[in-house]
Amino acid sequence: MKDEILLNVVGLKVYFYTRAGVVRAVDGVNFNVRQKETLGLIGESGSGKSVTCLSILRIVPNPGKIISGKILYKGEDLLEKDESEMLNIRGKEIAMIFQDPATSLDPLFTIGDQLAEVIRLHRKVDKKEAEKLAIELLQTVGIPDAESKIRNYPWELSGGMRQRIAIARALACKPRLLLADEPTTNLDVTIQAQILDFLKELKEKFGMTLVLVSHDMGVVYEMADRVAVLYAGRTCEIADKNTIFREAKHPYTEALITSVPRIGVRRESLKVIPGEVPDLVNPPSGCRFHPRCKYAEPICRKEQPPLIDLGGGHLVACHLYK
Amino acid sequence: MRFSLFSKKEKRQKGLGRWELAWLRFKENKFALTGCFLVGIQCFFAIFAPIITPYSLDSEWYTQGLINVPPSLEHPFGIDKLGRDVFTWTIYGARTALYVGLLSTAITFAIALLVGLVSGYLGGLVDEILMRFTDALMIFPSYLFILLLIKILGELAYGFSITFIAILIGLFGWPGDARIVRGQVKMLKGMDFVEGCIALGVSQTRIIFKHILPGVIPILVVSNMTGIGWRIMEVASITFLGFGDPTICDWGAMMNLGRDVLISAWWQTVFPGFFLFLTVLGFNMIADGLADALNPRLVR
Amino acid sequence: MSFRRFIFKRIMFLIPTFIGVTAAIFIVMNVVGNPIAILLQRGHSAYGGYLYPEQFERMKQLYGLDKPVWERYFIWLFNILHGEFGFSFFQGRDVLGIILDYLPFTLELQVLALIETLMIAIPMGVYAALNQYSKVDFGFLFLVLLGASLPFFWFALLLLILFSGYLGWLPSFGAFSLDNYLFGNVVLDHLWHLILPVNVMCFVSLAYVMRVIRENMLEIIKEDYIIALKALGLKNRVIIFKHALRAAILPIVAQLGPILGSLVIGSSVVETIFGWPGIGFLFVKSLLNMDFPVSMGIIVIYSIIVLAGNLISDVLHAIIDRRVTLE
Repeated sequence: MKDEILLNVVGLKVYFYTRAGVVRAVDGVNFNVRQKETLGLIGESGSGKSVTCLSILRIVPNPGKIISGKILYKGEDLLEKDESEMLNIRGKEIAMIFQDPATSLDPLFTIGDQLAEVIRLHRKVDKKEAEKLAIELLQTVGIPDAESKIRNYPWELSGGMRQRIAIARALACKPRLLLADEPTTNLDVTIQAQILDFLKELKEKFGMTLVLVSHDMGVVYEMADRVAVLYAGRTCEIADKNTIFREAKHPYTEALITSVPRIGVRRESLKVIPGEVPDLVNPPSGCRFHPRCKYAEPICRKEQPPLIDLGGGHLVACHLYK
Repeated sequence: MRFSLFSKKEKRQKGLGRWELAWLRFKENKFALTGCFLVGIQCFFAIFAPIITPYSLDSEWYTQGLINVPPSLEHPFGIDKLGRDVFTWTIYGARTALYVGLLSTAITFAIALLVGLVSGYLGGLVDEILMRFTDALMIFPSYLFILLLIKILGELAYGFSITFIAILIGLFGWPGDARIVRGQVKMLKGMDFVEGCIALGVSQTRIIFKHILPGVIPILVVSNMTGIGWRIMEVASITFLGFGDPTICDWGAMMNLGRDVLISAWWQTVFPGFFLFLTVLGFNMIADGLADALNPRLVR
Repeated sequence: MSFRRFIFKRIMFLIPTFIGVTAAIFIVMNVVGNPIAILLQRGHSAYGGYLYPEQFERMKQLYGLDKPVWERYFIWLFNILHGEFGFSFFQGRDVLGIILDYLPFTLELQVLALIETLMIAIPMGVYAALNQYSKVDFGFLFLVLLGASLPFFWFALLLLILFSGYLGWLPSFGAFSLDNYLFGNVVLDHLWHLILPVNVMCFVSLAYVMRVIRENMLEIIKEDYIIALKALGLKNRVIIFKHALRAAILPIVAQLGPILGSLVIGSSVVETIFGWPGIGFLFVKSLLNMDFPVSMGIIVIYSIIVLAGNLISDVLHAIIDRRVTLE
């Protein structure tokens, strides 16, 4: 059923305890993802998008700690599960792919070994069988000459191929949900297009749900059904794609959309968002965006705006809308 | 465990530069300060030895039949088998140790810097040749060779002086550091800002002195700080084996002397060795403190 | 580049290095003062007193003392490669024979010490890295500091005073007891004698290896592919021991240099302290007795061992990380 909610993140807070202080990477993030949809997660660097994904799989590295919140997958709170239960979820139900294909594969092992390793993790097959499955997997993702390629090392292949292999590896056990953390950022534009099409194909074929993290508006526009906008560790706005791009309500979303230069549109100067990237150790009080917001009111500095439903699944966290 | 560290805002407010920040971090580091203290004690002993001990190096109780006497009030570290006051000899030994450490390290520092800089900056054939040579030197059994040289030259009556030993250690100790310098130089040179400088027409000398050296020197200093301790230990091990001038006041030689009576008159070996330990420990602590101050490991 | 070509290239590098090393030894010897000439001057011999004519002739032949320097070098090198290392007056035997008698003891000591070092350093380094900033980690770092600062020969002497002197538990000298073997058993006796030297030898490079493993592990667990493996559901233990450790060991394998260097120093001093009949002990003894043929022979043998060690480490490195064969 298309409208059933697969993943629901509620009030997630993740803090990092460092020498320089407590970094509030995620400070109250809320969004949900429906079956078979693509949710785009947009935000600048430091907005907490990657950490959110890591939190879903509960692999936030030290010194990070998940402080509070709920992550409901198929109705069950992942934050309540113990490690052995999570081991069954990672890779099998929920998988993740990363930004840099050059570093997300182990350079010391052949890709055949790495694929087989994951395959054998969730399925009881022997080495030979796993190797065969690995070859099949490569063929599924469109890697030519798969039989000889499995003996190659990651660094012997091109960036596009590496990313496909990384994706193949993540899909080895047919997960329901795929978290893609900037999967095309490090690739050439032409390859980018290929990978995005490829992801769309996979979605169709396997009925997969996709959470696509990006700071690239174009990528999100092309891929997403719905979009969630994050800023300084908080959710600003959630809506379906068209609403976000045409009728954004949150000042940050609006600024973000208009700051993207468009071919054919004349402007005198590049529109930028004034102010600085927020300091996550000492974040601005109240609404995180208020120092840079042109609609800021005194209340914005004092109170954090709650996420309000404007109807039709359009949520905004801004004092302008009550 | 939380350490204090200036956040970006504070740094900007106080207008602190890179070096001042590093100095402040160093000062806060308790280990580094302990290290300074330990080395400071040795310096203190080295400089003020004549005042601290009422005896001189030549004082002997041999004639009075007093040898291998355990520690007592008049002789806090006891008397060794040659009838000398161990305390006096131990604290005078600090002079030799520091001298040796500084001399050998100065040589290593200079050569490593030069070779690393030339090799890293010029690249090409010069780099190839220098690196091959450096590699070969690393494989070369320097220690054995030094021992051989000392023996031979000693036989030829050029003397066993400890200066000579220190120089030899310095001459063979640079390959490791040179590689580090070269690596750093190459990395800095490859950075875009250097290309920018060249494009702007800045002279090569200026680039080297103003941009590359400041990036290279800190690492070399840290490495050599650890090196001082290690080299002092190396020289002590050489004199401990019995090479070099036995009449020189040196911890290694003292420990060698005490080996016959190791168990019965342990104070002859234990005390000099302990001072050696403290000295090396001090330098290592300073080195760690420096490394941390110059490159704080911020956990993200 | 294929694996074979890579090995070939490395060997090609090592051969000139070997020549360079032997040349260096030889040149310095002759420029500074030919040890053999010194010996001949002083007429040392195993029989105390004068050099017998046959010995003199043989030495002259071997070292070609009547010929120019470079000819001498090649004669000497040629002889070395054929196993002719000369004659020791002091011991009245062939140098090579003497060295080969002592060599096994050194190898035994070094190998055991290396194994012990790895067995201690790897688990501790991994554990400390995984628990960074914890009390264990700080304890670890403290131990590393101590290990690097404690003079190993002083440490050996302290151990001797304690375990041999006061407690009398362990022997203080040699590889075997002179009269009664421990429990009447040669092997046990030998093992008993091994205890102190091996532990001291292990101590020499322990701090360095511990520190490097921890540093490497810290770097590696932050790598993308490790996080990716975790995201795929691999168990921590598998990730650490199959993937991370392999990458962590790599720099050590590749950089056997400093470890081998400290082994050379360590073996000379440690063997001398414990009277362990290895080539380090032999080297020091030969120098003190001015038995230079033996000394030079040992330096050459050591060079060969170190070069072989380097070759092995290069091969191992290439096996683990194929990227080195690129270029």
